[in-house]
Amino acid sequence: MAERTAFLKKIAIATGQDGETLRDPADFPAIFASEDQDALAAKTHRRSHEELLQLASLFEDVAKTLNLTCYRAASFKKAQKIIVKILKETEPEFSSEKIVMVHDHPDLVALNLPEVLQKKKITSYSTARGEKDIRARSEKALAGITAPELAMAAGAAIVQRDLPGQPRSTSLLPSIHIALLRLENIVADYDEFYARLGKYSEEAMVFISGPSKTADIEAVLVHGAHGPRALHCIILDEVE
Amino acid sequence: MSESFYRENAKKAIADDKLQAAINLIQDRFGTGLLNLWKEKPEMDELRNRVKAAKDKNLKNLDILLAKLADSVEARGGHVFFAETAEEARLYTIELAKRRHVKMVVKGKSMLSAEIKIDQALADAGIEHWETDLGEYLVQLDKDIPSHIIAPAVHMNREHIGDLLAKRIGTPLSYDPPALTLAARKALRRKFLKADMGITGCNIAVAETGQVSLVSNEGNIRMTGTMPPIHVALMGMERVVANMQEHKDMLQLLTLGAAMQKISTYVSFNGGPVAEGCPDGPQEFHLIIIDNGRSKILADETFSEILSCIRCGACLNVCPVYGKIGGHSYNRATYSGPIGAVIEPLFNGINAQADLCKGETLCGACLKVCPVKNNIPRMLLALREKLAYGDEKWDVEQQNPLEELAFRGVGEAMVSPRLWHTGEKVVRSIMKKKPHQNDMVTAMSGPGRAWTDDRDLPPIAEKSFARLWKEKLQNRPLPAEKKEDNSGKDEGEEK
Repeated sequence: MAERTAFLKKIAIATGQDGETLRDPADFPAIFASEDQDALAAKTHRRSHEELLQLASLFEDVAKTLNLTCYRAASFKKAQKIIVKILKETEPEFSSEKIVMVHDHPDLVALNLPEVLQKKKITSYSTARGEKDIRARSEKALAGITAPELAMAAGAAIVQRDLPGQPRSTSLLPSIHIALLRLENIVADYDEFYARLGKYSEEAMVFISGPSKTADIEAVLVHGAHGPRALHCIILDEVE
Repeated sequence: MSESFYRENAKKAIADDKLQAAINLIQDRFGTGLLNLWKEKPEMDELRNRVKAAKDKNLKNLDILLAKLADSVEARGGHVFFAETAEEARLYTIELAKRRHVKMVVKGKSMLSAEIKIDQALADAGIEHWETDLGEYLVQLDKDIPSHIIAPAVHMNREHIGDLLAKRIGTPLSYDPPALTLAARKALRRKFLKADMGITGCNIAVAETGQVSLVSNEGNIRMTGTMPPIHVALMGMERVVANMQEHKDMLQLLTLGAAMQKISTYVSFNGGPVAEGCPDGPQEFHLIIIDNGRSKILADETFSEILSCIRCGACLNVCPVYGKIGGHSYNRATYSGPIGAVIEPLFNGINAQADLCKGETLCGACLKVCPVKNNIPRMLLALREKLAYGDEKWDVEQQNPLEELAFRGVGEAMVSPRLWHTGEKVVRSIMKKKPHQNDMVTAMSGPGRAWTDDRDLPPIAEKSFARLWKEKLQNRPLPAEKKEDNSGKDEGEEK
């Protein structure tokens, strides 16, 4: 605490104060004031299906430039088929067996993956609370499957929050990342995106906009630097 | 000594064709790209002005913002340490590492970590430490230093990298960037999973939420802040915004400025140990807020603007000097390019780093491209003024008293025609005796050599303009006075 006081007094003096007493943040609410975002956030919830489809198209256009592969699924069944196809076509990187880590999320439970994948000799593990060896399994995993609850079309970015049952490493350690994104969770731009973030921003979180990449060797773009080398985003438009 | 080092390295860099090609590529893609973007999207100007205004407000209230940030991080269960000097920051980190029996540290790319020389401290304490950004990792294996803020290994070509990885980590010899990247991916993954502590920088801290946010494309910074049980974030004290709205604006400028990206691949927000019930993330989080010379800059209104810098590296990508001499020529300082030319002298002595601020051309490209419109040329001139006349506050010794004397002499002569003409005669007669080629003087001696070493000098004319005027034109018959031209006047008024 002593070092904090001395440090802040030095800054106070540098900004032209006498440095005798330190200013209390509580006395200066204007410095932290931001515009009310509720109206903007509410607007994003009132979009017509047509408007949402336009946003999905924009998301897909931007995704193309980022090597993020997009799919559309009109039902959970279709989404499940897409996931199986991706997993069948991807070679494991960190283990000889095909292991899939699945976030604890109702939409992912609805996919009924364990049963379907077992038939294809793919082992799927849930990351739900109480599950064991999540880290060891993730280290070996071929894929991590998540269900982001917010995405920004303008940057093709999805949000992953730090929640129980939804480890950070599911979108980080496995060889590839598959995200199941509900159509209605897409918003247009930075303004809407941050308006909707709301209280998420109190939690640890990450925005993800494509597979891990680097251009550190002669500016040649290579995917799969340290994180997943592919990101597949399935946009779920449940019309059936 | 310092001057020769700068010049020597600059000459080597200019002669290195491969380096020139590598820098050209980056400058064409990012530098020219960003200048075009600002031109094509004038609406971005509003965003740039808004961020600059917020930066300005935040610097004026930095004491309040940092107090709030510290309170917010602590409320989340994180630890905050305020370090006035690099040494305090190093000590805190090393003591923490020792207390927790840390054997291996992984580092996410951080300029500040280089500024405070944390690597040496870790090495001295016997702690293994690895850079994990691919470029930084290559530079570390090569026992070299980075040469660009966002492209640390821009000076290394694929042959060099292939040989290096084969020799240092035993990968099969290859010169293929994807194969080389894969080799580094494998080698570093083991370290991420084994490390006891992760050290990152901080791109933007949000005071209100107590979050440190970090951008990366590789995912190495997410790994560093997620896998090891302890996360230490090093933060320059000016890198704080009040709320998420300011974060939204600044993030966009940062990723555009750094690599023309709408958003980087990963933008992570961490501000404490992992939350209750969450299965992974660090058990301990430490934020070290570092001054290390910044409060002195903040107190000087000539230079405080430089603290608005968002460290995107855009100025390096347009600078004609950086483009030719590369990052290492800047006295192998942590920060190179136009931003380095201002802050390195302020951090490490204006005399010691004089060449950095004198080497820039003042062409203004950095001001044009800077997302927050920092007036770097103005500050370069201010630094040079301190070198020309000396300065007590910044402890600057006048670099060349003779120069001041010479210019005072020229000043005197310029207001006294008699003195001026005498000087002219003297210089003309000296020049006549020097070797000539194609009517140009090719070799002067004394101070004139600095000119003729690199280029020829036009000789002073046999007769000056003033002399010619006097002889031929002063007493010429004047033409009959022109009639006033009304049509031209009307035209002028119409406009």
